[in-house]
Amino acid sequence: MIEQSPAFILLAPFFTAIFIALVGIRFRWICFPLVLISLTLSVIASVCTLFRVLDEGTLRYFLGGWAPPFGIEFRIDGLNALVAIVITVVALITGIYSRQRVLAETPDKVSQFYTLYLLLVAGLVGMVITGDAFNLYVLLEISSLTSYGLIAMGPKRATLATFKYIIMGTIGASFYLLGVGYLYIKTGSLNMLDIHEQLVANNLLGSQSVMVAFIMITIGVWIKMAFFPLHSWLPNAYAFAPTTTSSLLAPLVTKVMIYVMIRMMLTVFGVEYTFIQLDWSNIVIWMSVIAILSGSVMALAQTDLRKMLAFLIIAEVGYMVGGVWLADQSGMIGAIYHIISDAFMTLCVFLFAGIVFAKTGNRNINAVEGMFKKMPLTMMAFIVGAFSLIGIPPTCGFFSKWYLIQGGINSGHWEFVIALLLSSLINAILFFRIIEIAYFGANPAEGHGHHHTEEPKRSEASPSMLIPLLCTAALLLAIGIFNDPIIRIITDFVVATGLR
Amino acid sequence: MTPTTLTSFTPVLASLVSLLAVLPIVYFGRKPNLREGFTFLAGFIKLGLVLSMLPIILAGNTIEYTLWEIVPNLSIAFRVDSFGMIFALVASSLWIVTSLYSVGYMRGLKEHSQTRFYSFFAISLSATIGVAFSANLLTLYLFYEMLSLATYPLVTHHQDKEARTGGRTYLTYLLSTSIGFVLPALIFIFLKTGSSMDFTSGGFLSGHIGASEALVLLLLFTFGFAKAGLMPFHSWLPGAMVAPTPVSALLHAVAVVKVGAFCIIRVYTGVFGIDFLSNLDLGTMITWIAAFTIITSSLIALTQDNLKRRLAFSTVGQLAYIILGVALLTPYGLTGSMMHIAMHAFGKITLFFCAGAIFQATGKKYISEMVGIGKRMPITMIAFFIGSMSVVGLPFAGGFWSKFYLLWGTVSDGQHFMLIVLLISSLLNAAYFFPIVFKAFFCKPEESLFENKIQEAHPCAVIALSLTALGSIFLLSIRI
Amino acid sequence: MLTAIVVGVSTLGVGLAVTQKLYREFGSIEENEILEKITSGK
Repeated sequence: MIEQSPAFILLAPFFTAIFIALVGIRFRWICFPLVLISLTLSVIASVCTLFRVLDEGTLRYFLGGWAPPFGIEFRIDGLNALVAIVITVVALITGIYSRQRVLAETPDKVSQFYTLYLLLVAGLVGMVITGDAFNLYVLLEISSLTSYGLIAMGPKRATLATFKYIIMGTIGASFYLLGVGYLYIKTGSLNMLDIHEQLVANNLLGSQSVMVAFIMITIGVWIKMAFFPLHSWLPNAYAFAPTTTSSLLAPLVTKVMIYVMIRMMLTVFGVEYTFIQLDWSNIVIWMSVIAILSGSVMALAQTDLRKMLAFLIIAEVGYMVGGVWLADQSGMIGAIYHIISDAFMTLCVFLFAGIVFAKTGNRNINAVEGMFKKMPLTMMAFIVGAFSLIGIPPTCGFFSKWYLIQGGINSGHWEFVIALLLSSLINAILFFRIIEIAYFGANPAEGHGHHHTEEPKRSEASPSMLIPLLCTAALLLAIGIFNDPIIRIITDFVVATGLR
Repeated sequence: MTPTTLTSFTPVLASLVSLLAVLPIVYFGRKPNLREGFTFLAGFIKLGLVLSMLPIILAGNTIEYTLWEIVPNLSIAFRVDSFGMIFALVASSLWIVTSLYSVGYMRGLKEHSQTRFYSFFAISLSATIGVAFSANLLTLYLFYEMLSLATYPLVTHHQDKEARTGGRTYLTYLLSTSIGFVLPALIFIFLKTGSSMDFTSGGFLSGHIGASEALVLLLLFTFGFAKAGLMPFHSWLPGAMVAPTPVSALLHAVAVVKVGAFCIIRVYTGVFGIDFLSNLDLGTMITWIAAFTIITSSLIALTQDNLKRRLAFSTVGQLAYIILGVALLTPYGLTGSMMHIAMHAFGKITLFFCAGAIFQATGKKYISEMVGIGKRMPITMIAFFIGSMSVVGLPFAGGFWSKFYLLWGTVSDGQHFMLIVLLISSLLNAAYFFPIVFKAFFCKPEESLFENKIQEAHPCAVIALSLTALGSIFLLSIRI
Repeated sequence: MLTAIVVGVSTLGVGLAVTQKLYREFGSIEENEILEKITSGK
């Protein structure tokens, strides 16, 4: 049973999705428990897998027993085991959270929603655990197609945003596929490890076509992760999607694409090729500096809560791309750790935005007015998330910044360090603006006020929404305080790739 | 007896006890007496824990406790030495007095959200003791940030427009300096030394960095700990005076600003090392900045009519004394600085208590409205007089000793210009304090704005301010 | 090969479906008109 754990991570949500599609329309009540069961199974399987990786080293799992280069291979090391846990846990938390929102926002499409939801999770998890470059493309498209469907379920404006996303997403995926095509022509293989071995063995790394493949794949992935000049699809898509959808997409999609970028750079092309032979670090880091700063500044200009958070994601993508391209061990550790911490930070603030929207029906940031009195627990969780995004110890955001800045100083990229610090400060402004509105109200009283207004009644959101939020906030603290074991796993992975 | 290092959980507990007290405080939010009972209970336990470590420290030992390794090679660790002990003693004893005063002040004015007030007060104290007992830079930074954020709801307690502006200034200055200056400096040091960044008596930077890097780091730390209010990063302090007076008293005369000064002294002595700094001759520049701050802030204080603002600018000047003392890089200067932390704390908290008591009893905030107030609130104004003597440094209160050491430090180092700065500033201090007292007692009857009926503030407040005033006098008898 | 075709066809399908939804909601598939409706209809 335990040998099959890698397959379970993917297959549990996948088959449940199909089952829900078949019976969910008739028995609506069955959807939610099934979703929870399958995602819990998936979480357990991914945790088991991580422990096995820690015990046995890199796992190779052949689906159906067919060995590569013919069969499908799952290759799991420290990196993707961690990311798989992040995905399944985020999906589970959002799954619990979805219960009420789905009934409220898309009452006539419950089973369709959950089918797509689980397929999306399966696609994301599959991208992370697969060891095959072409399979990755297929799973990428599965997750993209389902996310188009999920976003389009939103209100009016979501449809246009979805259409933009379809165009951009398809272009991105095609770039990726073209890149993989070039690699296939040169090496005759689609298995990631095999490609790398072929490239090294046949001395292909100097070839122009391999460089073109690298560029194609990188650009494709950049489009999909909304790296700054290619980000335009993201803000509207995440801001207008149904709340559950954006709570699931925002933490995961961009982070999984970062993972794909790291996997391609380190495993397929190799450290030697990406950082030493190509040596494009300077350009990419400047691009990420621009991404960080412009993402933060654009976030400042927003009055729509979720749109503001969406622009923050663009800045955070800049953190991670920059961190990866620093070509430095600490920078890479920081970027990978940031994948984990940022997934939960984003989840936390998006869950909060969802609760605010559910409670007030208002998208504007002024909707949080008076929330400290009305929903103290919700605000507490939000403050943890906000502090984490600002980077205040001991939340996990502090430690990812710690490593990223260390990487920046180590490799001498001071522009990156300054961008990180500036973006922390802008985040502080952003979040204290919200905290101020919640604390003082949108228009506080003039003068030296001892206003004794009627205490507004406490009305927290229902437990099915509140508990996931509180869990996420607790996770943020836990990941920060006990970051040592996580960092050890990441360090082992990074050292194994040969990056110094 | 040789100095030994003991391992004990007590310092951690001393820091945590007030954090734990938040739970009963919030739980009993609807029963004020019980709620305040827990505040006092936590205060006395805290003081008891700190006192229990005193004999060990006096015997020349240190106490250490490592919680856990949070980043490879870096841990959250506590360490108690004599300097941290002084600061912890001052902070924990004044917390109890301030709690007493808060009860009087907050109930007297029927303030809203008192539960929140007491909770965040307790959290702030945890952070303060945490700073005092930090063993390394990372732990120090952690508690420093915690203090900035925990005091924000206190500063903005009134939740009106003025409070919002004050709170914005407060956080902008404190967060931008700590994230923008201290954090990169911290990471840079960690990278350069690769060590655990433990404070050691001779510093650990020497030999790892060059002169120019040392200069930049020194500036980053000196301005980064903006809680110390060195110009040009001082204006959060007058801005934060929108807070209720107990907050201004404890946090802005004692905990917050002294934490800034404490951090700077810790970094100078424990990270750079006095010898390293004097070899590179980096102290002079800091003394000039401090001297500038002292004179400028005293002059600004002269022009302020709002009593609390005048006290705030006086604090800016007095903090710069502490920085000046340590930047002299002489043993006497350093002793003077450390003593000044304690002496100024008692003096300034008395002055703030008096300002609050006057506001609570009469609603007056401006000095021009306080002519003849001595007839109505004699105890308060006598305490005010004692407090101002201590701050000016006259030989009737504790402030005398610290100023004495500071002056001695300048003389022994041959820094005659700094000596003159200190003397002029003492004159200015006298010039902005004593007229208030003088006009309160000795005005012509027709000038007096108050009737000749004694009517003091809430008794809790009066007891508290008398205690701190007596404390100021008592400190005179302490000899180091 | 076959997989890529399947993916391509399904992408096209989703794209057309969304276009249809756009038309139902905005009464047009001209981007200018839709944007106009969004900015004016707020």
